[in-house]
Amino acid sequence: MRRLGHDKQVIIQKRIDEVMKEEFNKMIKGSSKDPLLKLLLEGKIDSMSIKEIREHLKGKEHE
Amino acid sequence: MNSIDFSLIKVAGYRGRNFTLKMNPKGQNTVFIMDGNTGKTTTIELLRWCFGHRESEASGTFKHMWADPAHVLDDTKKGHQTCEITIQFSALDDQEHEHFFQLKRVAEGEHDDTSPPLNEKISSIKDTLEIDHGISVLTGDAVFDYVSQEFRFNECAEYFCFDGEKAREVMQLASDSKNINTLLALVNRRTTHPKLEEYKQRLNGLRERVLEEAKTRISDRALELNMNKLNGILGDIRRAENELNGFNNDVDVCRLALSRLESDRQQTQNQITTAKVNELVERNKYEVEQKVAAERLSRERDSIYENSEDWISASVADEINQIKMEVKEKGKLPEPYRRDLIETCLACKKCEICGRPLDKTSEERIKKLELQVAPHDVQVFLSSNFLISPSSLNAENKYNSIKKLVAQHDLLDVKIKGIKLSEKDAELIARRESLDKQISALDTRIAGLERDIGDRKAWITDLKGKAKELQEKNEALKENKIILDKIDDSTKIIEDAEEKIKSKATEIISNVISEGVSSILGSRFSARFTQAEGLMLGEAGFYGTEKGGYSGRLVLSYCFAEAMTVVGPIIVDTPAGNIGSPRENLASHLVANHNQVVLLCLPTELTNFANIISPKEPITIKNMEK
Repeated sequence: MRRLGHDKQVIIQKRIDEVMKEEFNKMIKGSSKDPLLKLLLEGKIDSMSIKEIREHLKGKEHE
Repeated sequence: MNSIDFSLIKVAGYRGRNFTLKMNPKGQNTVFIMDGNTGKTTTIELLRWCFGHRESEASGTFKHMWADPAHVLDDTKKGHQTCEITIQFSALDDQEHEHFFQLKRVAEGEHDDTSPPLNEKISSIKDTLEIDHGISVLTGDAVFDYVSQEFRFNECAEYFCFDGEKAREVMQLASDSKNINTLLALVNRRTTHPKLEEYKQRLNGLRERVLEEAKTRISDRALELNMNKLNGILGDIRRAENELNGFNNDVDVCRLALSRLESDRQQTQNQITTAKVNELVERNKYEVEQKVAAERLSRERDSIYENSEDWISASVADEINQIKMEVKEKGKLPEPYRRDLIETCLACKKCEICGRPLDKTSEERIKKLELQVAPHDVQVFLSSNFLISPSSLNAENKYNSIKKLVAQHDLLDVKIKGIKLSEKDAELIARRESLDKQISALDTRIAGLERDIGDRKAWITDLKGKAKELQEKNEALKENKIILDKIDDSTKIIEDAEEKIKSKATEIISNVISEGVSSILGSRFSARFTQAEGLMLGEAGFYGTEKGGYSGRLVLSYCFAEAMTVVGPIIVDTPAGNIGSPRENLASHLVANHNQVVLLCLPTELTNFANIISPKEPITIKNMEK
């Protein structure tokens, strides 16, 4: 049977994808205070109306 | 889609042979014992062909061992025949629902001795993809597009279908620092962040929502036109960006192929250069001389273009001098030159003769130029030595020099063709010539693609400028200007992050490959991949291109291939080869790294290897019958 997660073995593909994802998120989060990007990364954009997004962005601008 | 699992690979009619590899049930690895000439290499190469080339580009792209391109039909059979490859696999969607896929490629045609180099005429190649046992069926290029988009097979078919040849290629790439760019191109392809496109698409989706909402509130015809135009431009931007991605991908693929061809060409040339055969030595000598002549010829021809201005001015010198003499004698330009000159001076606001900018007084003077005898600057100009001196260029000398070089080149050609070579040596020369042709074709293709990339980038910038302008003017969008501006900002941040991550990619890949190498070969061993030195194996902290011996380098190749793979399964031809003692660790590593391992093994690779991959009885594939 399959032995995924074998103790000492390095899962190369997974490790690359994990590290890339970490680096990518670090770069985006670290380099930006962009409120729209924040909504995007939190996966909220699709569930918010245009009005809500607009108000949110305006609110952040006045902060 | 994920958790891809191959269940069957069936080959029918390939060079007249038929065989079927039926894998163990889902969740289990499979070991096939396949002795020499039973289809191990063929299986790997057919999979790469089906996953790596779309239907419309499949003809003439199949490679088999050292034959590139290679034939697929039976060269001993006359008349119409077919070669059929069937690949069955399953995968889970995001909701963990299982889907079944059957990809079939059918090539039809006939063997034909009069159609070199393949000696076959392919009349058609047809791809079909059945999804969920025929609930949905795709045909033609849509098959390739679907499997590329859903599974990314096309990006890594060279690596998840792994064999000794690929391992040798990676070893070669890693052992020569000249190949660093090839390795970097591979890494760049691998490290494109999968989320990036999704984020960009979501931002584009938001932009569309904003536009859609604004559209519902438009009553004004002009505003409606503006909106339609804006939508059209945004559509063009998306198309141009898709094309740009495609071109970038194609250029990477071409560069990789070019690097392989150049490496093959170098090897072939080395064989020719080091041959102890008089005819080859003599031929090589003439070829070197011919190359020198060709380069000189090219320089001579280039110089004509480089000095084109002198050539042109030499050919019109008499006419220009005559005009100038007339100016000097009469103090004004003859018609129509005078009127043109005056108009140009006034339009450009500078004196076209001396280059001085025109102030108001000068402008007035120029307007009255026809009435005046040459003003101050013209007088200065006329008193100088202004006639064009006779050109030092001599057309006849140039012609004779080029003609001599062409004759020298042709004479060497006759000498080269006059040398009788043995069949083996002639094959070597033919191979090099074929490689030269392929290299030249790829160079041309890369140049064309780079031109296309430049064009698309310029077009996208232009379109974005136009879109921005239209957005600014559109009253209906003013309310949501803040969102549109932020979409642009966020897109820019994502694109910048992608660039940054590419520059960090070598470091990430290097670390992960190193961890893989250590886990197979032991903690004394590691790997290092840098932009300066390429990919190297290290032992006790010392790195070099020859560290670790053959087995160490084979392990390094595996780890590199795994780093380049983006799908779960691995199908390996002759996996253990000469690996020696690390074979058990490699087997464990393969099991741990892939959700499915399919081994096409030699009988000698069973002990301490195949049994670790799968405890089930290996499946023996007998010699294929024609």
